[in-house]
Amino acid sequence: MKETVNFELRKEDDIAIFKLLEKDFDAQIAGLVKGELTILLTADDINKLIFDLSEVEYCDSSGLSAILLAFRILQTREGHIRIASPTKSVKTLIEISQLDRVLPVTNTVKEAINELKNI
Amino acid sequence: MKIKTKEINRKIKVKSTTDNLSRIRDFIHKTGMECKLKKEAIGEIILAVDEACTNVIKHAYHFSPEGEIEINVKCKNNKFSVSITDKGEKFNIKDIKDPDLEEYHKEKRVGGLGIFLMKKLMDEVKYSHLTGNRNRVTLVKYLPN
Repeated sequence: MKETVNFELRKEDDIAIFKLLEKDFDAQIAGLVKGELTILLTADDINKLIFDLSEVEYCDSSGLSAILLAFRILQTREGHIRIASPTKSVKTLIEISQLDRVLPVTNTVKEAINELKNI
Repeated sequence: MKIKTKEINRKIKVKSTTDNLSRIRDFIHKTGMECKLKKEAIGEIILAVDEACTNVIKHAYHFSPEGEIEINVKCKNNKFSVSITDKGEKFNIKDIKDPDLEEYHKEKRVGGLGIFLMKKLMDEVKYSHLTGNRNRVTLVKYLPN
């Protein structure tokens, strides 16, 4: 089990952009990502989150469950989330899992920022 | 042009740690390529096998790194078959109902999504309990003629 996860976090106004810098988003790092997101969303009181998946080449249901956790935390306080810039294989997984029915997906981070700014 | 799949048998045995998931994915990728499967089919099989092995690590061995997972691949008669065998706690995927995905995502439910994906991505998903307290999940993908 890995002990650290690589990610980049930046803020644009009240929007937090979490960019996962891992090629594989599986059970090996899903727990660590859940921990980071829980700290970010609860301690930093974030209500608008963009999950940038542009660096992720492979994702499984464990990875999706980490994104779902963020969605559920935000849902309890009427926050908002966008999944941005998924690679082709990740986008296919999101569609098969029907995650796109509850989580809006955008092609770029810029598009996600524009959407969240208007909320 | 018709691409003929090659008949092969391959095996890998790994310890039950999440570190080995990438090794398992590489093994399936390599075997799929060797068998001349299409890239899309290989991607689907990799994800299904990953989900099955993650289930073994989580539910059969409860994250103990001492367990063993044996993966056998057979490519024969237009079928690509992967069997995943463990000696962990008995876990029957037949007992897990497919989730209503929209409700699943909204509710605070966990688990079940991996099995849903395995069934969705593969043509057959079979579970068997073998002698010596072994569990086996067999995933089959039909290959076009």
